[in-house]
Amino acid sequence: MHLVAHAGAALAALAGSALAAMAFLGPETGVEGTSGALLALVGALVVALGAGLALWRGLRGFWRILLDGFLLIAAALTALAAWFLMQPLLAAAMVLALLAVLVSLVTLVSHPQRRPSR
Amino acid sequence: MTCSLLTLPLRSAALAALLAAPALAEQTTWTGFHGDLASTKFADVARFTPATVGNLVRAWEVRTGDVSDGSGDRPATVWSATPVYANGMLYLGTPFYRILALDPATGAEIWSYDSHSTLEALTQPALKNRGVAYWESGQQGPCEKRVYLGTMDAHLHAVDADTGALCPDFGEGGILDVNRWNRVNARFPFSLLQPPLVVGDRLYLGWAGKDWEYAVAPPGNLLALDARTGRLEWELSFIPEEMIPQTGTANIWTAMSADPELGLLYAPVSSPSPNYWGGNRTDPIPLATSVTAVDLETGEVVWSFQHVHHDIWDYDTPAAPQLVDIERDGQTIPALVQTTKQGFLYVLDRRTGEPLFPVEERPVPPSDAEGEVASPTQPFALTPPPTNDPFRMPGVWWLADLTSGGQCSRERETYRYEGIFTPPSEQGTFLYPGTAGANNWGGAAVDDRNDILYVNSMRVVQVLTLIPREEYDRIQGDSGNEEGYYPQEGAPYGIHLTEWRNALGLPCWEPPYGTFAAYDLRSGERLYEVPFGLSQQWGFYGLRDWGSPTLGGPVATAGGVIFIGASMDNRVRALDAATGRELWSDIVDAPVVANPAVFTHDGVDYVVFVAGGNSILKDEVSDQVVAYRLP
Repeated sequence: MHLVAHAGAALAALAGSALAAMAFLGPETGVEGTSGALLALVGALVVALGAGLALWRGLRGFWRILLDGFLLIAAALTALAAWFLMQPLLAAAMVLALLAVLVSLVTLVSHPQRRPSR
Repeated sequence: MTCSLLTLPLRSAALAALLAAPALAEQTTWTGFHGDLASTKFADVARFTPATVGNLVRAWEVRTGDVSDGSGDRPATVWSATPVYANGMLYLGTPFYRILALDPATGAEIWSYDSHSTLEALTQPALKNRGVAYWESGQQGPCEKRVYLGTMDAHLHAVDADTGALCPDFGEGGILDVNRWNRVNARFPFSLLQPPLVVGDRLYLGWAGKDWEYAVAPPGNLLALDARTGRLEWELSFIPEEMIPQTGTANIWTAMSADPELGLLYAPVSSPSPNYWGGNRTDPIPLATSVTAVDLETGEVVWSFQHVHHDIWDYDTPAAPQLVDIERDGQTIPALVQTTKQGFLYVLDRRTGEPLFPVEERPVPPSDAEGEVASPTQPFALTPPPTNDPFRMPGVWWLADLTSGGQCSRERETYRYEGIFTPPSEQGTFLYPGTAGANNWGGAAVDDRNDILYVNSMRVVQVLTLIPREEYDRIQGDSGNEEGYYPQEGAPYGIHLTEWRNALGLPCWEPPYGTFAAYDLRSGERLYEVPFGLSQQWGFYGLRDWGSPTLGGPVATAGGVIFIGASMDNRVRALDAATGRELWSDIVDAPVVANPAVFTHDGVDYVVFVAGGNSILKDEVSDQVVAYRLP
């Protein structure tokens, strides 16, 4: 399940990255060339890369909780930034990414994976 | 917000009823910066209504190519030109001092004229232009219709309105060197950034100078020129002759109004030099910082109303007054409304200069600066209510204070503030409104059918510090557009001016930073006041209740819609005139700091915005012109 969730998060964050790039590069987005739009772009890329890393490495246990927690915060802050940049599509994409990461965390908590016994 | 929740709907309903008055004949031209000689900025077009403006579409968009952000060798541009619609064309001046004649329906260039003026910021921190002027003789033939463009280096160009060819009978081969009349204290050229006012067959010309640099500067004057030849017909100086060796300016750098029926021109006169210390000019200069009525034929002063005595705040009269006939007690009174940097709205009888609402002379604080003698009283116009509170500056904003560890609260106790006319000091004085004013060159709009005035305002707090000469010479730093270090050479003080912000760059004062309001000029009552626009920092938008600082003015239309740019969020908007509610908006390249032009061409109504930008709002400039129409 967490693979699906991370895939969803990566896709949503990739879409967010594209939207953030469009907002930053303009024209006439109201935020083109601003440090706020650049920050949102970096935030969306970080979430996309982090979710991709989780998919690729299939992290478990502590490292997965750490990464998912980080992704949750990054997605939430990027969504907040997008909201204050008046980029509703970007905000929606990052909320989707956030929800996907949340699903990954919930599945981890409800189905904890144990180390294989020796 | 000053309206209570209970009264706002009633007032809005009353205003809506007033706006439903039958429209006058359709206006088809927009012949000047404020639309017409009366500077009403009222467009008699009825198809733009609260029900229809949501459907506005871009008719066309033009980029002139005349733009600089100042990063290269060329100074930055500051473009606040309002297009002139006349002769079936749209005429624009650019900050590279070119004229463009565009097809109003498509934006296609019909002709262009390049003045080849020097692109140096000779008197201003940036290359500036506020448009062109248009004249027609009523006869047929070459140069019987002309467009005039002024330049930073004091040349006035006259070209044929049909072809863009220079008019050889004007000045020397079509170019008039206005600096020939810069005969006294000529420390800088007469920069012609605002186009001349055209009344009949005359051009009335003011100029801009190098503010805050010198104590002794060219004395402000008004030049009346023959529209055909450029010959000087008369000249009026605003500084008493005996004061000229020790001061200067009190010039007209902004647009003017005129009432040809009364034979009067209304001149918004600025403050004398230096702007923030007046020890060299303690004798009265009655015409400085005034609105002055001048006989169009002779240049005689008919009356003058000084709204700041002994101005040491740079509270220039920033805009042409709006001329409006006010109905009162069954009588029609020819009036004018003078918007001011202070936020006072002076409503005067334009025949005599007598106030139509009480104006009080109130005691104001004395100065402790060396050699300074501040005026003991200043005029206060409290009806209609000022756009900005003259008695209390905005409080400390908790968010800025919190994020700076109490920096804002500490500074609030450090600097001097005892109401709007607190004199500049070595300790540092809060300027509220700031030097760019509550209102500036955009002025107000007025609907003459119901005597409703619409005006946007800016709520920015600055800190002005007088720096003793020796210390100034040691520490002087960079200067910019309305902030930084300025020498005031010849005065015992240089100055430092800055916005009151915390270490993170957040404003230390409470929002809103800008508002939009409507006033009933018959009663003097404010009908509504709402936050206007969105402020921005690093791209992030503030909340709607915070508003935005504003530069540039509104246009009122017969359909009950207000068009306005003016905000720092790069948006152009249509507002409901009855409530100030936003009906439509679009994002453009940079803040629109000029007035929009609204006109009808070939039966289609257009609103045209110039998105030029201005670093007073934010460091973003553009060369974009955008026209909107209904589908």
